[in-house]
Amino acid sequence: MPHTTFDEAADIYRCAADHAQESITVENLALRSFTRAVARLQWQLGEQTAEDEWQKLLSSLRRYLFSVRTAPVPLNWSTEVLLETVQVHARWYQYSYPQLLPYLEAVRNRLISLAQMPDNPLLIALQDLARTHSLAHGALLLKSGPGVATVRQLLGQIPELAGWSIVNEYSLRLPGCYDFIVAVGPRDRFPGYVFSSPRAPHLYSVRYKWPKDHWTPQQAFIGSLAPVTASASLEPDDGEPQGTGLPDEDDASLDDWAQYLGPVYARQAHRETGSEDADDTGAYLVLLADDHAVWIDADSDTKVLVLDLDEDVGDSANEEEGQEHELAGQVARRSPDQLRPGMFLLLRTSGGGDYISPVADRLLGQQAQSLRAMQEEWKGALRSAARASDLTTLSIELLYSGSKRANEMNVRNWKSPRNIKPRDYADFLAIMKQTGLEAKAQEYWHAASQIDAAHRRAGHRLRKLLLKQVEGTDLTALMQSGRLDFHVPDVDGGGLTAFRIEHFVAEAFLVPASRIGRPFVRRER
Amino acid sequence: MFEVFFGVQCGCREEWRRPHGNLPLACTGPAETMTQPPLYYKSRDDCWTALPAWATFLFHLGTLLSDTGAGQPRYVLGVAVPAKAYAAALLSTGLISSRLRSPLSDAEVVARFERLCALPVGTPLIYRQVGKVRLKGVFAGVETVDGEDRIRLSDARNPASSRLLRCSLAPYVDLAPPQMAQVPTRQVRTKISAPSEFAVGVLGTEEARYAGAVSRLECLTVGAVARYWEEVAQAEFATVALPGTGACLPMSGCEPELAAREDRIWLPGTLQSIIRVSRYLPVGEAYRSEIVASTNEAKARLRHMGKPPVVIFDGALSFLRMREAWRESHWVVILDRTERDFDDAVAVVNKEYMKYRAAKSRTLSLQAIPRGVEVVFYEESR
Repeated sequence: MPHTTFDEAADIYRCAADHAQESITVENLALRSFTRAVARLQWQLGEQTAEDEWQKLLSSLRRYLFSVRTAPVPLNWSTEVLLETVQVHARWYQYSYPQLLPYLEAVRNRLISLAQMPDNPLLIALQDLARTHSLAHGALLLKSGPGVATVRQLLGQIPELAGWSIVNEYSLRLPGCYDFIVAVGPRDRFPGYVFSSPRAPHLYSVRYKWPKDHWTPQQAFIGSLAPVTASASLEPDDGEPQGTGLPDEDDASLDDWAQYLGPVYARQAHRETGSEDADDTGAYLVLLADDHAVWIDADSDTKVLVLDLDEDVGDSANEEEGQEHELAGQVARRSPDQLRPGMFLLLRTSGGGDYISPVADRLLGQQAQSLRAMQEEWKGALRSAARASDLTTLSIELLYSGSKRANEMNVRNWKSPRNIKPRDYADFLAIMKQTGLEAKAQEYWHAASQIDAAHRRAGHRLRKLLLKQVEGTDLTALMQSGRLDFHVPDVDGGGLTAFRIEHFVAEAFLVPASRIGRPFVRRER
Repeated sequence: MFEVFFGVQCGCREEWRRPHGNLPLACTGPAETMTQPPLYYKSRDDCWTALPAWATFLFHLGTLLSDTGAGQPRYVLGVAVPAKAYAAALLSTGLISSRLRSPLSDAEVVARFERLCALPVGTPLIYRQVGKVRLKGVFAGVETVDGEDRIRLSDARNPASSRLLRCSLAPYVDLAPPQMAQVPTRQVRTKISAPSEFAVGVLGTEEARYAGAVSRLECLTVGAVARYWEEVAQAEFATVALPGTGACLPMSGCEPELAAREDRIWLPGTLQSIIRVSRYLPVGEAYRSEIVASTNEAKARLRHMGKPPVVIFDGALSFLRMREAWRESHWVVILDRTERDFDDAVAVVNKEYMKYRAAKSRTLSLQAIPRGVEVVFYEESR
């Protein structure tokens, strides 16, 4: 994080100590009715929500709801594509799921109404707020999403809002305060600090009347010596009757738009690679800033390079003590289970997703080609063996041949070009025996070990190059934009990008190995 | 011969006592009733500005933690703040300035002397004469003079200048840090730099000189080393002196009064001149605190310093990573609400509170807690 001066710290404490919050709610019956219809469809689906096609539909519907409820975009924003998806589903399922048809029809009909509405109720509320409170220069806080680009365009066209800058929750962790912050959407959808340690003396929450806003000031410590008191807050009572028990517009799951994206994008990856790439591997979906996503190998041995601004910055004056660089702690290799939203993932944006191999090959020099050929020979043989039977049978056979860790997931990793070699020689020898290459086991193991060592050196080299580039980077801009492009000459094409992790889907899906580590643009509308 | 500055004859052959210092600003009286010195920071408009309430609160909180002696139950202080900048630095400053008013006990001095006596002959040592010079030499054994044990600091080239150091001088003797492993066989004199005006203004002349002569690890901060450097060694602070008055000035609201006084004297400096973070000091200078990053470097860095009585975790990540390494020290846990790991760290503090909190625990006489700041304090029952 950038250094905070004493003045900046004083400003932050001043805002935390003396701020006022006001909540403005907006009603729109058409959107409310649509929300309720989606909630009821989802409820009727029950366990069928696990089916791929329903997941795709629900993912699209939730994404739309999330976008229109957390950004001041028109109600007909992206409804054209969504309507088409709903209509396709209605046609498909009218015979196989006749009991669901009325619910699907309800969703479609309400969506047709919304598609004809260019209204933007949240934007009108923002304009009113700016006018009545004379809010000229401040911050509009939005959740990250595809609606942000649209909002940026809209703000520029409205004189009252032209002086507002769009910020995200990450930029509110930086030093500095605003005159006011207007958050769009329910307050409980933002991290607690946005409202408990506000970076402005005036906070406004502009949202639809539903779903209900459950945010309240929370005491952090159980034995806190001073109870947390609510700041001056105006939370209007919408006068709505209590729920009927049926799913309604307050259904919190409707905001979890990322839940179904894993299977949706896994299918897309298979579709794009076609039958030519049958080499599947377990991977996690990571949603990134700037509407990107990437698949990360789920193998626990996998390490990815991250830029973590929360890490302690070291002491450049102590290089003689073995600390290589002031920012060394902030650029590190992390396994998938260590990834957290807010970290920046380093990805290759030109060429294949693997940025280590080209650097490793340079380090290996003339040997690279022959070593890679040997590597491909035994991996190819293993893939053939897997195709000849199935992974479970092959795993059992490998265990009989002396392997210690053969199982479906490990065999899948071992045959993947992204994995260099099994950790244990016993597993490697079992593969050699099973593929008829036992005579060359030592030679191939040595080759794999050389490649492995080169990859490690390449990782260190890249890290150093990255550190040099990060040193001169405007971290404030990085926090705001969520992506940073680097040019690293050692990587073919030179294009590396650090993307902020927005969401980590902690469930592994099978995807073609060739899609691992390659960022792609999300198209979820 | 070397001079004994503060030695007074006493029961254990010689009792060590620090005379009450010349405190131009601080009130006289027992340490626990002393008023905080007025502190100012240099604001963005280049003016000396009184510390705001949150900063004086954190400084004050540090002074309340100074009772860290043996036999005290282990305590945990958790502080949730809107921004962690300067929190650890101010808490350390309060703690260390308050501890400087509590001299080493007889038992501590004797224990320190005994530790020195047990060293292998040839161990490089540093001996500091208050306000004068720092001497480097090697430990040459224990000798009895007039029935009293003394340690010999040798000078191989010039035996005549070897020194015999009494028990009472043990606080002024340190093991040479690893960076000074190449201690020459003869004594090397280095002038001890004078304390800054700021340190003198806040601590008093004698206390400030004493701090420059006696190493004592009062607290360890675990956190971002580069940020801490900016806060303690770069940011400018000041206190103020009014010639001819020994009275304390109020901490806040005194600016108009000061502005009217043409004879006021600003005493500028950095917090480092009070908390004396070893990492940022020239090798061999007397330290009061240390900082380590939340990696495994701590043990190597503290090898010659001993265990810190208080550990300040400067942020959630430091606490989550390093808390198990410092179970025997008191804990101060500073948590910034905007940190990614804030909730995880709070959950750990709460779990510890539920598990180990003693039924009866002393209470802290806190100033009003500033809004936006949350504090938990408990002593452990185990």
